[in-house]
Amino acid sequence: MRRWYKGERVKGAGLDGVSVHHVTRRTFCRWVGAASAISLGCSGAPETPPSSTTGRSKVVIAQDPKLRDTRGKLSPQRVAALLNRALQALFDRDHPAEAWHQVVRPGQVVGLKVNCLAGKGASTSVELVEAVCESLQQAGIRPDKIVVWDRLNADLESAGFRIRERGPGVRFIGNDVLGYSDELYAHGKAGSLVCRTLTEVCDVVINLPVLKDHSITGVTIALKNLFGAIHNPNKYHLNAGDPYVADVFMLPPIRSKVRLSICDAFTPVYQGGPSYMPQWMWPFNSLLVSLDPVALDYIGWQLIEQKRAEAGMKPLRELKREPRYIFTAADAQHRLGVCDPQRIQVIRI
Amino acid sequence: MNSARMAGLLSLAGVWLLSIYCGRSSRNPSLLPGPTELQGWSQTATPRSYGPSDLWQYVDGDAERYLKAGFERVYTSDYLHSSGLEAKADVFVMRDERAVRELWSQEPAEGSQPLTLGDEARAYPGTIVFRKGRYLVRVVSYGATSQQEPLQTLAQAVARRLDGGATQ
Repeated sequence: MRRWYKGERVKGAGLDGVSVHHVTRRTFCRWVGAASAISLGCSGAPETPPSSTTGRSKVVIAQDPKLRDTRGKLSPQRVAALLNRALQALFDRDHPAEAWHQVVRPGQVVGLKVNCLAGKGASTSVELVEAVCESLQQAGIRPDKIVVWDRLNADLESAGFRIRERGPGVRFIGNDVLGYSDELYAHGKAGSLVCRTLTEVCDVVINLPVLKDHSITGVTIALKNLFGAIHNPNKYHLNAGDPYVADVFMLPPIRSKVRLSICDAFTPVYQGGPSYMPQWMWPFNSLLVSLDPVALDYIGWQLIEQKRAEAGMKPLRELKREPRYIFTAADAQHRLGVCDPQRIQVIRI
Repeated sequence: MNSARMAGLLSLAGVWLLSIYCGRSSRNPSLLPGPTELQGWSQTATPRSYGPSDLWQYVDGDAERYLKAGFERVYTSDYLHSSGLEAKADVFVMRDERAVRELWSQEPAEGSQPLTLGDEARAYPGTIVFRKGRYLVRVVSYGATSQQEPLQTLAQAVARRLDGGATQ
């Protein structure tokens, strides 16, 4: 039987030591059916980023200078208020629940993909995740339908989350709990197994990255956060992550389920990332929110470049780590969003 | 008890004590200071260590930079100061001093102050980095970046540990 892949044929990257399960025509058809069902089952949640009323992708930068107390600790109440304001601005709604209903419906399992690789200090804030969980519940999502996940249980714990694999409340699990798909997903130069938490548990994924410089790929924001969904991210840092970051986001389960990105820019890293580097972080006290991960990454990248310039540091291009994968993600082969500033509407609140 | 028997017992005791010492050395390979070597600081977690094959689990994304320069092993531990300040210390063991210098040259010095520690040291708000021979040491604090003095105490304890010819 002729072999089929959902995407292009794998060109060798990322397959070391992994038993590759080829995708049959039947499986391919099943995927297409499933993807269509998901797409139809969630009103207002198309696969390609929707445009704003001006025909451009919206990126909301919501800032609160009083987000922290006098000791520098984040205020949970102010984080929650900031989140709700950002969502209302993005969807142009009067109530956060109405905003949530644009991307998720009661009954669906909502995955929150956090970024905990750097551990304490440079991971998605516990306060933000708590605010998202609370806001989702106010929008009618039951707590047992919310799953906070990342690569490993140990990563989640190192960022301050408590593992809860089962039970009536919100679940917190690493990919090491359920493992990875038997089937290989491929697009362009990426060929990976995708975590079962995403493929089998979640109907919808809310992307919760952190705004950070990256010593190899330039920046790591919304697109690259999905490296945490695959089994072989360490294979994809060549050529400053281009085109791998874009290709991984194109993998069908990822592209079809990630609906919204809420970037934690409370204390971004502008140099030395993705590790925790307090000397190269600044209290930006902001959230970046968008339906378009490419537009969000583009704007986030510009913010990092701006901060680097203020600190007297070279632009990423001069350091040979300009994040070209952002442009690739917007090209005709990917169409994951837009990175032309003329087509991005930045809303600062 | 005759002297021959006494000598035999003493020899056995000596062997036993030596085995305990060696056993401890192999069980505690960390290059990081332990509870008795710290002033005002306590270790809050068991020290961890990563080699070339699993470095990506600790600094994924940044691992290639260390591997390319000649990485051999990293030891890391979390600490808590009596003032409430939390910190983490990393000791990167590189192939040789040249490898350490390569990493050192990649890190911007903007915003830092020189510090007398190891072969060369920089103090940034909330961070102290120094190199010593084939070791690169990074001590970072969480939260308050203004408390430099306790951080220096911790960095000095690490430097003393490295001076003491700790095993690895």
